[in-house]
Amino acid sequence: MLKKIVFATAIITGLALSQSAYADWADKVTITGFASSTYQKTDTGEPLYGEHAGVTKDGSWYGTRVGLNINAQINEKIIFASQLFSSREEDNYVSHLDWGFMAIQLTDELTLRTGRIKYPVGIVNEYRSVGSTYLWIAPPQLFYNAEASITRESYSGASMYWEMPGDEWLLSANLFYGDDANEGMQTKKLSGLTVNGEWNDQIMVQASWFTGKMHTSGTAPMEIAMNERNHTVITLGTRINIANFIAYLEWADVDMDDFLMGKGEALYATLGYQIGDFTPHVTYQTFEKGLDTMSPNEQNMTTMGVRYDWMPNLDVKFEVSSIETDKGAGLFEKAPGKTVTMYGVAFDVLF
Amino acid sequence: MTNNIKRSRLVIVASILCAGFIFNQQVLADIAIIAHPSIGIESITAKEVKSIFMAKKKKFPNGDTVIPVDQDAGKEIKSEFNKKVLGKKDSQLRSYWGRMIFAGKKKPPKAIGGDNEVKAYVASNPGSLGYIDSSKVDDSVKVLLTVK
Repeated sequence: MLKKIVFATAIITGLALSQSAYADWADKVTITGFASSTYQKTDTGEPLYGEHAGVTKDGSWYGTRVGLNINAQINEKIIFASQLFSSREEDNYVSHLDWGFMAIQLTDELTLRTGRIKYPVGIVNEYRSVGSTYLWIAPPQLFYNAEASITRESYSGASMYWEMPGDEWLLSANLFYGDDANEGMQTKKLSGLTVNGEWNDQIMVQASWFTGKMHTSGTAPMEIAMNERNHTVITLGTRINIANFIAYLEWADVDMDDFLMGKGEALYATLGYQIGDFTPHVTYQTFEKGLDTMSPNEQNMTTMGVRYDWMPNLDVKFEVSSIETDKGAGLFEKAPGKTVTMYGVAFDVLF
Repeated sequence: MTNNIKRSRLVIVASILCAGFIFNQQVLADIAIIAHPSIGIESITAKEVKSIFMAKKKKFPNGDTVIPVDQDAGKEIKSEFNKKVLGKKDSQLRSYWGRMIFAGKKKPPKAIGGDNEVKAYVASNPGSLGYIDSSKVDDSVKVLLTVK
């Protein structure tokens, strides 16, 4: 009898402790996520490069992706934040830790972050995978994809993030340092500064500058030429959301010392207008690289689209784009030699 | 006489339609911004409430740490609060929090239910700040601002 009492007490105590531990865990850990299902099709057999890789006249689900965000409040001053990400790239799904860092609140205004951190260059770069947060199926690719060499997904290092809020305005600055490795190329001693000014969450202005030294391990002439070059980028941009108008404008200049093939410039502008649950929009983007070389690369792209907020946390997007390829391959593996039309549809969800 | 009768009928019908329109309008509640009775301030501005609920400020005007609590999605008063105090449609606010959460920057106030749950939480937790239908206010909480 005594054994039964002791056993029952142990079970009840264990359940109570696990309930308490669960309640404590549930208060401190938050899990959120996003997903996008994307289908795009062009009228050429040449596949698109970067985030559009694999999109041809046969159609592709490239860009379909899922992300899971896990945040844990360690104590009043320390948060651990991470994001797991899985996306379709050509024939397979690739999963990785998108970012994972520790944030330590040093003062009310100043936060130290260290770990794998989302790159703070580009107005939408820190949430570029979350389709629900913007109008387009994907952020303007002539600015945000790897070919433009303007920004990157994330870096390993540390940052000091300063934020000063007013009643209607918010100023912030992000000083960062670290390195990044991607497909045989490393960028070391990556250092930069991004400053943001926001008014009433209606107008946001961002300016960024960063530099880093490239290290390549390949033997191709291009890779040898890039090795030990400094990669320096300046960006300026604004996002405006006043009444039903939404607009984006961003410009970037890229320099790689005397490696002229890497020198480039990119610009895009978007204008949209919200009508009920529909937001039609138009985007013009342009990109040029290596203009003073034997192999210049230049491309312009015009996109018309509409976003429909179908239900809470679910939106649908339709887009048609005209991509000029008479001055270089741009986003394509090889220049198709004609103006390409691309159609796309996407579903985005937040959970 | 016939014209007078017709005119009178027209006036009566028009009056009935107007009355029906007026009474059919939803009566939108005033929103009371409430805090624990021990709070060291007597009032708060709508701009300060907006800064707190959008995680731009973490303290009351007197420097005390604030814990904002929200109502569940789908509550009509939440949409009214988002529109009148935060100045945002529900879809715009979802986009804002998406940008903040998935950039690892901020997280939204915890949603804990409806008017009764928010009032009970604020009444029991010093430093908390919430909003409820002004008709639900009682002595267990302190009203810092009423939004019409």
